[in-house]
Amino acid sequence: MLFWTTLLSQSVISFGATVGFAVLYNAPRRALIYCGAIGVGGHLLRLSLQQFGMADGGATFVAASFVGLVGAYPARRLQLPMILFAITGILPMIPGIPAYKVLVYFSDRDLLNGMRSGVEALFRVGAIAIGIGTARLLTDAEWWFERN
Amino acid sequence: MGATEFTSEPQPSFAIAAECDLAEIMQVVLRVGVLMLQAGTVSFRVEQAMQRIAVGLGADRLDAYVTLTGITASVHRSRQHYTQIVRVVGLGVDMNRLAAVEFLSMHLPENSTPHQVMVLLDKIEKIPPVYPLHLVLVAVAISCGAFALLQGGGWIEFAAAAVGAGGGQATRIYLRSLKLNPIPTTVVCSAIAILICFSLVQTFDRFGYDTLNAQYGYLSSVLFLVPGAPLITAALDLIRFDLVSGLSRIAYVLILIFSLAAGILTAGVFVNFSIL
Repeated sequence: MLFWTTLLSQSVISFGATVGFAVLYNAPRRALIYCGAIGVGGHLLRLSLQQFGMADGGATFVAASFVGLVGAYPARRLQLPMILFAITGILPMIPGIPAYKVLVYFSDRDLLNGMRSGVEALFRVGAIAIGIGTARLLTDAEWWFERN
Repeated sequence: MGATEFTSEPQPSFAIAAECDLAEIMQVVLRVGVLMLQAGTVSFRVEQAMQRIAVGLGADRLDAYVTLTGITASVHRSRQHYTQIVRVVGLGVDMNRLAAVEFLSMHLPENSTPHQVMVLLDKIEKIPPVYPLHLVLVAVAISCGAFALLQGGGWIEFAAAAVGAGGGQATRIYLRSLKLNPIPTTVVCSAIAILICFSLVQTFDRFGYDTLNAQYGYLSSVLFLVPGAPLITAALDLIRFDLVSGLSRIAYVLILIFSLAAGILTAGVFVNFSIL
């Protein structure tokens, strides 16, 4: 029971977070529902992989790849730029807490903990970037091949 | 042999006519590039759209070198070519405009002239924002509040982050209308968002609703300033080895994140660093 309520609340919250940013980015109305759904999918995938014991970086990488791959479908269907779904989809994974901790620790002159949080934040950002990049390589021939 | 060369006398005037034409094509192509870059897309997409438009208007080929702050392009037709540079300022994210320009580049009407495409681009530029400003404000507030919940905060953090982000976004809309540099804009907006968030948390505390996780609220109230879009486009640029563009996007992201941090620290001075 607790599992399902958590699932439901996490879905609703990440949907709201993603759609809100899609509105900020002036996404066309017909894309909003897809943006939200992809955001929810990526977030839940990342959470469940972490529940199964996957490291933060790996889980984020898989979830970001998922976001990038799934985004190709609405992009093609609605004839919208793929990047719209990638940008909004990864938002729930942004390492807000580690990045904030870097600031807190460094301004307290606690270098060790600051660096630790910084590395954590960098790993997460790197995982997002590599995940989106992998998805793009796989879905777009212009990225997969080098041509002129 | 020499005689044949002389008989092709009118060629220079043809050449001049063709060159003017190329210049016209170039104006359209560069405008497409600037519009797309300002809407915040990957450099390669900009290049691709410019090439499609150039070929659609009758050029043989176009080479474009797209960076974050400028575009250099050469358009070729038989033995003529024309090169131009354009500076790009006013970066942002506008997915609706991006989609419209990209759609136009893919579905260029048959036999259109540069002038006709210019008129279409004028139309695209005049499309009003999809959502009215107050709706954007509410959306940003809700979404930053939702982030506070996602990070592990409760309803106090939700409310504080939402109101803080709303105040910050309102400030940002105002400062953007003044065309202020993004750095001071980010500093001021993050300071205002944090201060609003802080005073709300204090007010809740006064009425007995205290919280141990107030930092989730503070951090979420400034999340709308995190440049997520340039971060992703930087990664995609780098993967395609558009190195200059990718690295400048990373620099752009870092500058904005440091401004964000500077804003938080500035707010910390006013409230005696108790937010940290």
